[in-house]
Amino acid sequence: MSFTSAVFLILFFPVCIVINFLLKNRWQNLFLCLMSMIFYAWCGVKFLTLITGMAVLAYGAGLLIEKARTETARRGILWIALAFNLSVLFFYKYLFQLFPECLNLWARVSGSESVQSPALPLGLSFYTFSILSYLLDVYWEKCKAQKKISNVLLYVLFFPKVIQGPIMRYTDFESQLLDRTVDLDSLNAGLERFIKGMVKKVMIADRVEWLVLYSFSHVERVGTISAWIGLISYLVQLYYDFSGYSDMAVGLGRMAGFRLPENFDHPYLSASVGEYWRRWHISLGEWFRDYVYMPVSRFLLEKNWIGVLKHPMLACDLLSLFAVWTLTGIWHGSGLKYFLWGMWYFVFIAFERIRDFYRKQRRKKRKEKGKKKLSLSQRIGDRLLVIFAFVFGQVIFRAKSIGNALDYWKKMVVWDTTDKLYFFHEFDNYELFALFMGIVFIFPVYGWIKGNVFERNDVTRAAYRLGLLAAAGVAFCYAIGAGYSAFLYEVF
Amino acid sequence: MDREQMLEQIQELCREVFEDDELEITESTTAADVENWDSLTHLSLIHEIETTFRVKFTMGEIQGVNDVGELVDVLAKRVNER
Repeated sequence: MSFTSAVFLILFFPVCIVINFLLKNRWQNLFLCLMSMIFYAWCGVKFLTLITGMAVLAYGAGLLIEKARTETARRGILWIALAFNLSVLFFYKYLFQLFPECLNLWARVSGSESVQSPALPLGLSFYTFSILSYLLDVYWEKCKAQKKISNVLLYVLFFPKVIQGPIMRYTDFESQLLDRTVDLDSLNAGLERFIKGMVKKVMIADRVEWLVLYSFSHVERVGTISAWIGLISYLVQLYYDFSGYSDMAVGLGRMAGFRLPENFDHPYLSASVGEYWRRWHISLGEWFRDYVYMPVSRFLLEKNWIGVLKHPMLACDLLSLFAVWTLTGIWHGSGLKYFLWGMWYFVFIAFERIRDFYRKQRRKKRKEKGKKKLSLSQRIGDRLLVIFAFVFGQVIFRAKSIGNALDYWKKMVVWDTTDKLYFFHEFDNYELFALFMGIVFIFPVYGWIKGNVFERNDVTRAAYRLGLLAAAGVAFCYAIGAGYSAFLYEVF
Repeated sequence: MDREQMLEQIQELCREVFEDDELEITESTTAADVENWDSLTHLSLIHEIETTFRVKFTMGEIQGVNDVGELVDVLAKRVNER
């Protein structure tokens, strides 16, 4: 069930939010758990069985870890549980892509007549990471194992976040299980956020899709200008699609009484590639920081060999980042393309870390104190690096293959007028208008307008409410009219 | 060793790890107050504290401390367990 589908908008969403609001606190968790199961079952009862099974096993593993008397037993249970969940992820997401010869075996085992890989359960990568977070938080004694199975099911299946995140750490979710309130303020704030997300998705991301498809689907027939327009459109589409989804998820969570983590913080304002990734898909970055970067760094810092290196801290940082970016690439997909995409960003972030390290060393030699402002040329150079890394890096992400990405790069940098300016005839004015609005509102314009224009007095506030309702109405019509429209990150 | 002595030693280790000889640490100091305090230097500081006090923290304790006061709390707990 998609957030922009008719059944969700007309039936599921209002029923769920209104009943949850009317219920007493102690029944809300159970009700939300049930509704989340219905929500997920919409994409297939088979998949509901899988996710429920994984959550139930995580629940059992959590209790066993807590009850185990020796460290060896605790660690053994953790490893078994981690291996099981990662095996499920590997089976559905990687096995048949990496080893196509397994397809025949799978067809025989499953009794299927057609030789094809099993469909990827919706949100598998996201909810597997939620489960790993639960297991590791219990093992690291950041929290107690959950005694109520329905609470673990709610954590894993919670409908606003199950398909595309935000990936929430268990400790953050647990603190809200018993201590949250749903009042008119939270409903109001949540609804506003949900509408904002829906507008982003259906009125911008979906509208510029054709511009993206035009350029990326037929690289051989596009020229340099349309290649750049296609890429800029893709950057707009990706941002509005994913941040639109995240806004809707955070808004739904708020209406249900939960505060889900933010996923975006104006990433296109970043002054470094590292900063960009702290502002884009924040919940995934924080997950990798807590569960990969920190354990790997701790492991390395305890090794004697790292101490004999000339710059042990820098070496430790780079090795941990390598682990993070290898996994980030692989998390997005099984092909070589995703691995190289991860390595692309690793190279730039590693370069920035080394550059910043030597900048700091120079300042230390000069005995300069405090934070020093960078020179204008340094700031321009740093920004250009971010733009270069991001613009060319996202071509790899969008292209069908590495070869396709290289062809696209060539179109971007070698002047080509293959399609002259005919491509403009392919698009209608609204697509170009949506692209223009998308570019404008990628910067913090919305918050500024709201704060400086609409928050001035009661009249402007009422005008804002009316505008929001109108936007919701238009977005609703677009969503219903368009039928099913997948979110880009659903495939991960 | 009392709490004040622990805090003094942590201050010395902080000055070394964060490369600032004049750094003043109190129980309410957080990572946001110190220029170089990020995930990696945090782990380096933990490693130094573990070596100096001959204790071992769990990852939950390492990630769970919000300020220096909480760091002293978990250190005192570990020292008492020794």
